[in-house]
Amino acid sequence: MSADAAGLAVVTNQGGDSVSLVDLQAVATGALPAVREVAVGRAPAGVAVDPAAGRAFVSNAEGRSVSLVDLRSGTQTLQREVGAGPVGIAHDPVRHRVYVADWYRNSLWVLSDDGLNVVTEVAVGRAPAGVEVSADGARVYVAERDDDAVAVLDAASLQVVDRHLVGSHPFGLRLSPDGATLWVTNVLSHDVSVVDLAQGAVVATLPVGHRPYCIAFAAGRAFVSNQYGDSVSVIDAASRQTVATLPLVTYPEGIDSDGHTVWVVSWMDEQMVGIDALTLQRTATVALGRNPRGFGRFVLAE
Amino acid sequence: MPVTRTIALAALLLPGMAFAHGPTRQKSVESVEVAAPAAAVWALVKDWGGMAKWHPAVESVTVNGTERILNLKGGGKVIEELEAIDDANMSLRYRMKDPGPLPVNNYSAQMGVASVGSGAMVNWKGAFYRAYLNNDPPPEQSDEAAVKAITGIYKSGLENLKKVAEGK
Repeated sequence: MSADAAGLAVVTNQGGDSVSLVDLQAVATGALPAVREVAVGRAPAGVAVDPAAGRAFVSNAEGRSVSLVDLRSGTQTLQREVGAGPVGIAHDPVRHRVYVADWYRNSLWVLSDDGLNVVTEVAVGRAPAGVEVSADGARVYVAERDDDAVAVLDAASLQVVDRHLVGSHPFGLRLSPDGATLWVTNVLSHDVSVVDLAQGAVVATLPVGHRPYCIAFAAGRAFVSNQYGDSVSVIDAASRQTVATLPLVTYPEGIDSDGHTVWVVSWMDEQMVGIDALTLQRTATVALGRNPRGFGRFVLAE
Repeated sequence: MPVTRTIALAALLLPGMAFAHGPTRQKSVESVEVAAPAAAVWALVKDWGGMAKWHPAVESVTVNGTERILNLKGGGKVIEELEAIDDANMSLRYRMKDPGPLPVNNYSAQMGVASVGSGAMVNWKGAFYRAYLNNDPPPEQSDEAAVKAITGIYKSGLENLKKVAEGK
């Protein structure tokens, strides 16, 4: 494990009640062991890394709790009960908050990032899933799966200030690296909605593979994991044209990038696959725990 | 929470909400080695309307385009949709449109055949959620019940597929 927690992937193993901490430098050099499994709460799904503090926040869907994992020591340092079905999770280093979508309570929990204490609970749409926070911490975006919408919350007032209708059953979402657009996977319409945040409107709907799950950006491209398509769609972020469909993994779910390599979690095969963002070649395969998901931002760049 | 319960109940009753599910997807993965050529085993597996020839729980199959209705021994029907079939890789993919009596939700699966020496290896991989859509499921609609049911179907099916393919 690298001492500074850089170059790490933190993948939730929903069937193993654990997270796999993957040392990406050790994977690249072939050094062993590259993976350490750390116990968290029951059935963890969502994850949000905090690179500056070397820690990760994990939603334990069945445990109805949130875990704080210290990545330097590789231990869970805190676990607090939160709601009825925590799934999507995001960290805001500006306001020192953790946002957690509650699948059953149709709400967004706001927690302090140090003690995981509840600040408040905000009502949102039905079956809230993915959560993203703008880089300045001013806006929070929540995919409202069963309302086919994305809620926009003002972080200062914690009010829903806007709502975008997207495709059918939005689940994962990711801000483009420039923060100008929000990309949303629509599980049942098999496409991605691109929301222009300045215009406040959906400006493109891009067909992808079957049952898209989440999105990562690298090298000017968006990479979309297609759960039931056993593939990753590669989309040129500027032209919004699909440039490749990579048939690499079975039931791909969580997807994230360190800027050079795109890491995709294969739920069925219980491994993480590395794809070079430029050449689109598979560069690494890492064994994970049982039923891994990695829903959220799970990679700390080197 | 009465409101959530009402929604969960509505989801069970309304076919349009069949994609609602709990938070934790489950899987069953089973395989069997068969002492028969892979191509012959694949011919059995890919026969979308032929499942009654090898699965002991299936009485008969009605095919309607890419859809099949499995009429189960002892009653009950399961409706499945073929989503993809790949002859070159000897694999197919399907999902359940209606699980009938099975305690699962949002089920999808893959079956594949690989050549191993002069024989074959058959893999069956399923992904699904439990029947109960909310927290705290009753035992018969739990994650464990779902995994047990599907694993049982895979094991008994593969065991008999092996017998049929080997001509025993």
